[in-house]
Formats: sequence, structure tokens, C-alpha cells
Amino acid sequence: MSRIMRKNFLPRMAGLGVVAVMAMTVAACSTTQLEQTTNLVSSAVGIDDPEKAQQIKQIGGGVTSVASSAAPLSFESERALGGGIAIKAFDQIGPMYPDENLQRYVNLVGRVVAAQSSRPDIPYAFAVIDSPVPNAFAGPGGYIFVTSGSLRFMSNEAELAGVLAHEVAHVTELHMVKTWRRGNFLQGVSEVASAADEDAAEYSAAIDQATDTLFNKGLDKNFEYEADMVGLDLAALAGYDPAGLPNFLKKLASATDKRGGWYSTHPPLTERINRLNQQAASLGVSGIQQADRYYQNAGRLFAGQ
Amino acid sequence: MNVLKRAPGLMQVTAAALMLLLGAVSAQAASVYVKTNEAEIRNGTRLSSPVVARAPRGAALTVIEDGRLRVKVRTPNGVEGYVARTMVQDAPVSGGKGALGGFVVEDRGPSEMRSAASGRGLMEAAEEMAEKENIDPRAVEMARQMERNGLAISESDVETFARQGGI
Repeated sequence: MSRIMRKNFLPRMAGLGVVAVMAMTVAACSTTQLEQTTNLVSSAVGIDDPEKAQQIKQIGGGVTSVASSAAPLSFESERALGGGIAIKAFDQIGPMYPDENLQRYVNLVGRVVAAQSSRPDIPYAFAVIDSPVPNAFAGPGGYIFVTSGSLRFMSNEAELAGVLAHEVAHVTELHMVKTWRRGNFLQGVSEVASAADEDAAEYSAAIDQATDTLFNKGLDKNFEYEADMVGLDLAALAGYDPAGLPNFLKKLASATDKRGGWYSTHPPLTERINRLNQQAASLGVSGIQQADRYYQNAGRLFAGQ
Repeated sequence: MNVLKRAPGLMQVTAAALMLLLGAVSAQAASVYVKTNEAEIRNGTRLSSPVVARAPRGAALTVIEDGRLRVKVRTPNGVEGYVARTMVQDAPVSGGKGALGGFVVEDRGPSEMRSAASGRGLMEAAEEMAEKENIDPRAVEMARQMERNGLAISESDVETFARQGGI
């Protein structure tokens, strides 16, 4: 059994090369030639949906677009990749925070905002990681993490909802999947299923690239701005104060120690806070903050402070 | 004189025709299209507002009032209510491609997604990676626990939690 299944049997980069040459050729073809080329491209990238093949014909020289529309990943594959990131997160960032009640509470808040999203049916899983460094990140398939260090900066449920909604937006907008596609990872891969030595290296390479992005370098800043924008709407749709995320970020910005975590994996806070405040004001809605319920469930984090 | 008298008349007729034409265009109601597996349409703008209709991916909903967060719509059956902006798009859904635009296979319903996530061996590739890289088995167990924590929460748990919080 192969761990990673492709709809075609071309090596990854060779397949891309074929697509690139064909895509560049498309512009100069007659209609008949175009149809033939479309069929060739379809088989080269493993697209058996005529509509997708038609889109390739229309895209012309857009190799990146061609690659991104090749072989959509199944949800099971997203989940298998997200699971790999989850294991690395608990290994490298910190263990699960040992408080079942808090874990359940964070899952409930996360699910309330996720239910408003464009992917409401994913079985999201949220976890609090025991790490003093404030951070939060998301893996494909709905694995979402927030550190105990982040929770200590929060003072109500709306701020938690704002942070979790930002991470839900990374999942719904497929930011990690798009990052892999841009980096030529998992090209042409449709299924990550079971074990085979020949594909284990590719799976591990994709996970390593994701953890380096999520834990150290950060996603493309435009993905972060998009997650801010979508996430703020999700929190507001759920009925939370839309100012939750910018209020949390303001506290991070005023912290004395700005090393690692949120500071190294996200764009400058001032710019984000300004954009978020403008968006929150333009919505013209209020919403609940729920400070009491937050401290009832997260109070243990503040003991001894 | 007659011509001059008639000319304004013609212009008025033309203007009236144009007005009618423009009126017809503007009266042609805009639609939004469901991009999620299914969209809930509620009779109010709160999370706790009752669901009055459900529309499948691709369904066209007539826009009554557009908004940044929610759109007031009418279903083909004539039911009116509010749908979240995140669950609809302005362009028709073609080839079954909705929210995920071809990068990922479109989501199925909640029970199918839960069953896919709890499927036996789904984390197999991840666990084999962990074994090969000598990752602490406690990290693997925590990832499994994280999955169990998520799956343990039902939709009614979420609704109860939202209601209790006054959302």
C-alpha cells in the first residue's frame, strides 16, 4: 500500500514540468489543439474532471494556478497531515495543558465560532499547549492550538473567541495547503493514506515544512491579514464582541518580552490592530465579552500570578 | 412646430422606455449561492435564532437585503431568513466547487466528516512518522487525546454552551 496516492504516476517535479510546457503552449493552439492539449494536461496532472481541465485551458501560462487545481486533497489527507503537525506540536512546543475542563471549554468556544465558518462541518479539535510563550497556530483538517501563555494575556471569552476564529480562518482558507502548493510540496497528491517507504520521506518533508512555517517563520503575511479579516467576522457572527482579537493583540503589543511565538510568526502587531479596529468599527455591532465564564474556566492559569 | 412639439414627446417616450428598462434590470433580484455542504437559514440574526430552512451547496437564494455579516434571503420555496455571509458566494457554484475552490475536495455533511475524522488508521501516516523519528510516544498520545476531546463534543453541546453564555 502506498502512503501517498497520486492520480498520475509521474514523478512530482516531472509532472509539473509537463504541465508548465503544456500550459505555455496553450495560448498558441487552435481550438482542436487546445482540446487535445487539455486532455494531455488532464492526464499529466491527474485531473479527470473535464471542468477542471477546461479551466487549465483558460488559465494558459499560469503554472501556479494549474498546479493548485491539480488533484484536490481529500479531507482524510488534510486530517492525516494535520495529525502529523499535532504530534510535532506536542513534541516541540509543549505538552497538552493538564486541565480537562479548560480543554473542553476552549473546544466549546472554538466550535461556536467555527460553526459560522465556510467549513462548519469539520470535526475541529482545539488544544491548549502548556507553554509560556504566547502563540496560536492551526494545522490542516481542523487541528487548532493555543498556548497557555496566550490565555494568560486574555481577560474574557471574546478575546479567546477572536484568537480561535483567526485560527479557524487559516483552516477554512486552506492557508497551509496553499503554502505547500506554492512550495511544490504534495503536488499531484490526492490521498495520504497508509504506509510505504517510498513516500514516507515526502510526507515527513511536508510536515517539516509546515512545522517550520507554523512554529518559526510564520505564514505569508497576506494569509495572516486574511485570517484576521475572516476571523473577526466569524467572532462577530457568533455574537462575540468583534474587538476581542484587537484587544488581545494590544496587550501582546504592550508586553515587555516580545520574543518568539506570536511576535516571530505573525506580522507587526500595530498594523494588524489598526486594520482590525477599523473593521470592527465598520460592522456596527456589539457583542458579548463573557469575562466571568472565562475566569471560571481559565482561572487556574492565573493562580500564583 | 409640430416636429418641435413632437420631439419632446419622443424624448419623453424614450426616457420612459429607458426608465422601464433600468427598472426591470434593478428589479431583477440578485442571488447568492450556497458554497458550504448545507447552509442554515435562521429567522433572526442571533446564533440562537431558530433555523427556518436549510439549503444545499449550489442552491440559489434571492437576496432581500445584503449585509457584511449576514444576508437576508428568500429560498426557492418562499421561506425568508438570514444566512451567514461566510456560507454563500455571489457567483454560481460550478462543477460542485464551493468553499474550497478545487484545492481540497468539498466537505460532506457533519456526520460523514466526523466519521472520516474518527476513521480507523487515519493518523497512521503521522504515527509511523513519529515512530521513525523517535518522537516521544507521549506526544502521539496527546495528539490522539486532542482528537478525542474534539469528537466528544456534540452539536447540541455547542448550542447549549452558546445559549448559556447569552450568545
